[in-house]
This record gives sequence, structure tokens and C-alpha cells, in this order.
Amino acid sequence: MRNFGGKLKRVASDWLDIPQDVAENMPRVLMVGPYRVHVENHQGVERFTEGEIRLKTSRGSLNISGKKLVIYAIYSDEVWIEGEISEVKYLG
Amino acid sequence: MQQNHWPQTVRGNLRIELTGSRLTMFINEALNQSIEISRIRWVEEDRIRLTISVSDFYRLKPLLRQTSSKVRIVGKRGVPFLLARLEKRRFFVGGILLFIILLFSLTSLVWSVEVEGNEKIPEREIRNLLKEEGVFIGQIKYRIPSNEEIQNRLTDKLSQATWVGFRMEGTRAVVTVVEKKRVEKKEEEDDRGPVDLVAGKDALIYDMYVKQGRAVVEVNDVVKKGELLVSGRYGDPETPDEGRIAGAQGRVMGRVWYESEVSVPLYQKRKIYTGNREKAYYPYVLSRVIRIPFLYPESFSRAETIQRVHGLRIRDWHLPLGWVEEKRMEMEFVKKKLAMKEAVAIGKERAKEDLLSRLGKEGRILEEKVLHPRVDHGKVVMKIHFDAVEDITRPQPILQGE
Repeated sequence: MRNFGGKLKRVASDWLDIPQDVAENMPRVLMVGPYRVHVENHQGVERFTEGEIRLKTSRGSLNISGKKLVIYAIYSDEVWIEGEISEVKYLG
Repeated sequence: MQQNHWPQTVRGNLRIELTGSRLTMFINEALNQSIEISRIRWVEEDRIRLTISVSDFYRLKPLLRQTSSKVRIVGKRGVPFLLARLEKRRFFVGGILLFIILLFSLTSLVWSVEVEGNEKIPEREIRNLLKEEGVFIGQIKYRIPSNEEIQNRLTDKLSQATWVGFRMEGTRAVVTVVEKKRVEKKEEEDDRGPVDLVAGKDALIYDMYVKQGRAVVEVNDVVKKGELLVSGRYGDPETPDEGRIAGAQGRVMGRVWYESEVSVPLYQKRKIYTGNREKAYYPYVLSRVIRIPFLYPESFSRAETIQRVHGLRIRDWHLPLGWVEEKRMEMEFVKKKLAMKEAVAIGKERAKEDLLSRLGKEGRILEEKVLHPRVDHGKVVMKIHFDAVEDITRPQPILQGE
């Protein structure tokens, strides 16, 4: 049912020409320089260490690695990470 | 999100350290319960530090049990904690407040009054005038009227000064006086050289006293304004342009007629004390009277008040507080109708005073006559004829050829 709903949304957004991140719960990543990453539509923290933060999203895990990472602020759908970021990567 | 920061500091937030093996689960659960956490820092394996608001801290307990983690408070920040800390150091805070209040109140007083630029005007006179204007040591700065106002009024009152400047320099009131350069009167007379005496107005010569010079007119002569009375040249009257120039000095009294019109209202308003009186006392601090409204109510509709200030002092040291004794005397206005005769007498007296002040030192009134007094719109209007004697001489420099 959930999968069907997701498909329907994708079709609708294709047909209506709506960006996918608005229509679906797509994660939206904004990176400011090498020191700040802003992720919207995350679904929780999977793993948190100084060198790596893994966030749950609708498209699988989002891995942010770097040095001295700090979750500067976190809300139910938004997270703001600061530190010396070297990589932002989807882990399928 | 930066904007969200300061209300948290106002409400107060805690820096806490969590230890446990399921910390990511803790973060997710906290998000689910919409507990706001920020600045999560990884310390070591199974230990993180985060910032949380005080109100959310108490909601953490079930979560902690659920994820079997332990909490330790590392730091406290924000207004509530600051207040709590200040309350512990009550006297210190009180001292700071007292210091600020003292600083403000002491700098809002006038601590010294300085007068500069005066040579002939005694400083005490200027200081007294300033005191009347409300500028004195111990006065509150804000109660002093504006600089321009003081300047204008001081310039009016100090007739010997051309200009008076007033300014406040912090707690110092500075008055700058520019004195008039006075020409000595004697010098002026010497400067003038020899003069003739001529008549200042139409008159009948009443009496003459010539100290120097040659009298041209005699007693009972009628003279016109500008006519020569005493010549400053000696010698033959037939050849007036010759002869030694000596200059005239003397006094010629002339009879001059004046007419003045006076009107006197028939109804005169007069103030009468009824004999009822009461006393009131008010304390004052720093020249500000504190009126206690219910303590001594004013029971008279019309009253004249006399105030007496009792300042407290320790030996010779005046304290800036004390009390004011206020005496209130009830009074009434009584309308009185004057008889015609009285009104005429009053009018005559007034006109006489007015004239005498114009006649000068030597002048006197020989005779006065009231002409047709009549009543007009509740007033007595009359003409008064005066027959006065005064010094009519006016010096006129002798023109000595070219």
C-alpha cells in the first residue's frame, strides 16, 4: 500500500512537473562550503561518531563523513551538521 | 536556526553528557517526542554531549530509562541560572545597583558654580541671581531651565553686563559675564567742552541760579524750547560772537504746565483675610517638596500661603533634606464701590506720583487742578492740570568757528 502510494506520487509529480523532493519525502541536502551540511526530510540518526554520521532517509542511508562532526541542531525532519566535512554519500 | 538561539538562552539551557550504548536510538526517540536538542558532540564511543532546554530536561527521564543511558549535567547557561547565581550573591548585586544609582544621582547634581569674566560686578551678586534662577550647589541638573532662558534672564537682570553666558559642564555650572565698558560720567562732562544752557521746554522762568556764564533771560520771562538761557561767553552782549568762552553752569527753574488724563475704576477689588488659618508640613529632599496629598488637605478655596523652610543640619553642615512649614491664610476678595470724591483723590495721587517721577530731583508741584471728572463705563475719567517747577536747562555745546 505504501509502495503503491509512493508510485502514485512519483507518477503525479512527473505528470504535473512538480519537483520530486516536494512531492515525495525525498531528502534534500544543502552543503555550505566544507563545513556545514543541512539535510531536510531525514528520518532519524542511524549512527553517530566524531568522524561519521549516518542518517536514515527514504532513499536509504545518507553517510556524512569528516572530522570533528557536531550535530548543531536537530529537529524531527531537519538536521544541521557542522564540522570538517569531506564526503556526503548515499549508501544504497 | 541562528535566530532560535537566543530565546533558548533566555529560558535557560543545560549542557549534558549521556553515556550508554544506544545513543542514536535516544536521539531518534527524542526527535519523535519533539524534544529540541542541539550541538550534539561525540566525545568517545558511547558518550555524547548535547545541549537541551531546562523544560525538556525533565521530559528526558522515561527516554533515558528506555535506552538505558545515564545523564550527567556538565554546564548550565541562561538567564534563570544567572538569576539563581545572582540571588546567592545578593549583596554583591545590591552593591552594583547602589553604585549605579549613586553614580547617576551624584552626577545629576550641580557640584560647583563658577563665574568668570567679571571685574566690577561682585561675584556674590551673580551667585544670588543664579540662585533665584535655580542654579546653586546641590541643585538637580534637570531642574535647571534651558541655557538660553537663563542667559536671557541674567542679561536682563545684570544691567552692568552686555552679555551673560551660561552652560553646564558636567556637574559644573559656568557663567561667563561680559561687562559693559562704562564711560565715567565725569569724563563725559569734561569731554563736552564749554556749553551754553538752553531751555529744554516751553516754560516761565521761576528762579535762576547761575554759577558760571552770563544770564540772558530774567525771572518771569517766558521762554520757548531751545531758547538760550545762560550764555557760555563773557563779554559785551552787543557782540555775542566775541568774548571769552568760559562755559555756562547753573540751574534755571521754570514753571511748566502739564495736563494728564487719569481714569480710576469705581469698583475696587480688595483682598481681605478672614482670619482662618491652617498649617501644613511637608518634607523635602534635594529642593524637591514631597506633597502628601491626604495629610494636610487644603480647606480654603482662596488662600495665601507663606512657606518657611526648615533645613536639617548637623552643626554647620546642611543636609539636603528637611521640612517645609506652610501657613495658609484664607482670604476673600471684596468689591468696594468708591465715592466720586475718593476716586478723584486716588486719581490725583496717581497722576502726581507719575509726574513727580518725571520731573526729576529738583522738580516740585506748585498747584494742581482737577478738571471735569466724569463717570464713563464704571470708571471716573478726569483731566488734571499741574503747575510744576523743574530744572529746564539743557546743555548745548558752543560751536567755536571752524
